[in-house]
Amino acid sequence: MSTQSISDRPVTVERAIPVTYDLGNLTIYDTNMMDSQIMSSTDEGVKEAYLQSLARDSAQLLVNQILALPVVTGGRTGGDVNHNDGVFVKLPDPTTQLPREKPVPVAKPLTKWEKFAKQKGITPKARNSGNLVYDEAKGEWVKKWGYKGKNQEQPWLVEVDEKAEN
Amino acid sequence: MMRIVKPRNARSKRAMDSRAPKVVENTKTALTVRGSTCSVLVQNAMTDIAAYKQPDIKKFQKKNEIRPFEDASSLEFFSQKNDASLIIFGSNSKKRPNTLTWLRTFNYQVLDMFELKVLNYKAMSEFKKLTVNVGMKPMISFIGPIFDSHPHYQMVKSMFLDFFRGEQISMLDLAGLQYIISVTASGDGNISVYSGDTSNLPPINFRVYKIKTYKSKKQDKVPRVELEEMGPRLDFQLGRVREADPDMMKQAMKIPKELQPKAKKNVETDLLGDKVATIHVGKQDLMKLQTRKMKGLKKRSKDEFEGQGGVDDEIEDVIVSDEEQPKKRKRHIK
Repeated sequence: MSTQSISDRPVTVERAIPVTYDLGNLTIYDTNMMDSQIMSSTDEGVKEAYLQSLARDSAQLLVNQILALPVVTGGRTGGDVNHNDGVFVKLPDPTTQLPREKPVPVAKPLTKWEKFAKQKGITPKARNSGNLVYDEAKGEWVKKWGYKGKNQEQPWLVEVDEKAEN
Repeated sequence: MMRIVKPRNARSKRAMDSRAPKVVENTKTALTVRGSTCSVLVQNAMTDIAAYKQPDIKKFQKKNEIRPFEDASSLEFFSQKNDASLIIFGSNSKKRPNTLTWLRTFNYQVLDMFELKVLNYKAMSEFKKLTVNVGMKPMISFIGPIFDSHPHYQMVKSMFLDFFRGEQISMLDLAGLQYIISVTASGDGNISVYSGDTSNLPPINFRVYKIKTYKSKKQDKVPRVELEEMGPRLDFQLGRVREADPDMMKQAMKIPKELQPKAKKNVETDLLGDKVATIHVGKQDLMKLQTRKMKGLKKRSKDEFEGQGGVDDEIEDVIVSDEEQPKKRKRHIK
């Protein structure tokens, strides 16, 4: 193995029993039988080399699976604003269920006001949702007011047309 | 035991809210606690393990007289005070030398725990210095059929996964795949749980390797993965186990409503594999139906209808009459 150049070594791994993955946790579960002779040998070097080779195979399988996931490029257009440069991979949700550390939160009992409001049908006042408004013609969001706002489409100063006034 | 604290300012309220039960939970924090008989070997082993849990771990320095399997109440207190649901307790005795007790809490009460006796330990410092950045998510691999068949080994698998998996992330930077934790156990798992003889159980090998990728000539997109051991190297022997109370475990495994996958109504996949859905269009006001510009509705001579059947005839009559009648009425009124 050491005489062969590293780039010539195979990138695929064969396993008798197919392995299972939990990519959300970056985990691989390999239930194939291990070589009991090597494992019970007294030679530490042989045993460690075997364990390392098993781990390398697992890592190779995991990396192959991860690289098959959909790639998301960083930047504002690519999704999450917090991830700037770099190649990102969208991980699926973890599949292994692990116990929670605290119980599922109980819905808090409604306060006296909340109960009253619900009974009377009082909803919070709908405030104008910020400064942006969707412009159908342009197909993008523009400001309602302010610099380059939509309300500035009309000229704010129009000279009096004597004939139209009278 | 803990008095209920009422938050006096926004900061303490935020701290309290961060510890309150949530739909999506925080990453579990861990504690390493030293027993009164904790040896240097166990202390070093705990420190090395803690390196892979940073920054979500707190290391206690003082020694504590605790026997977890007899009375874990002080560990529960530590869990509550520090908001830590994972604890590793290190101890050493003639009967149980160099033992690490791993335990999990649910709602600050012991959920499950097990003892792992350290058979071999090679410290991180004895390996070539290969460090990973703090907080990197490890790749984890469990090798061996016993992790699937033996309930105690399944508990070990669950605990290790809980401990080492780190923060939940949805987007992974490919440069962040730096190391792999490999947990192996030989044996076929056909070992009776109830035999009580713990010496027959295969040891658990815990290894950590740093990952190096090389461009492969065989395939362009997939690299060749090579490993280099960076330690620590630990071999564990499973000792006493305290399984979780089934009711408590059921509570702990509950998924809140908000996270349960929602079934989409009205959408089905038919036999051919096509997505079929019902689009609900509102009721059409037939009075306002535009019939003037529909060529198909024009009145035609009877000769043209020879091969079409009487259905078209009837529809045409109905629609035309509906539209014309109201108009006729209006004219009369005027």
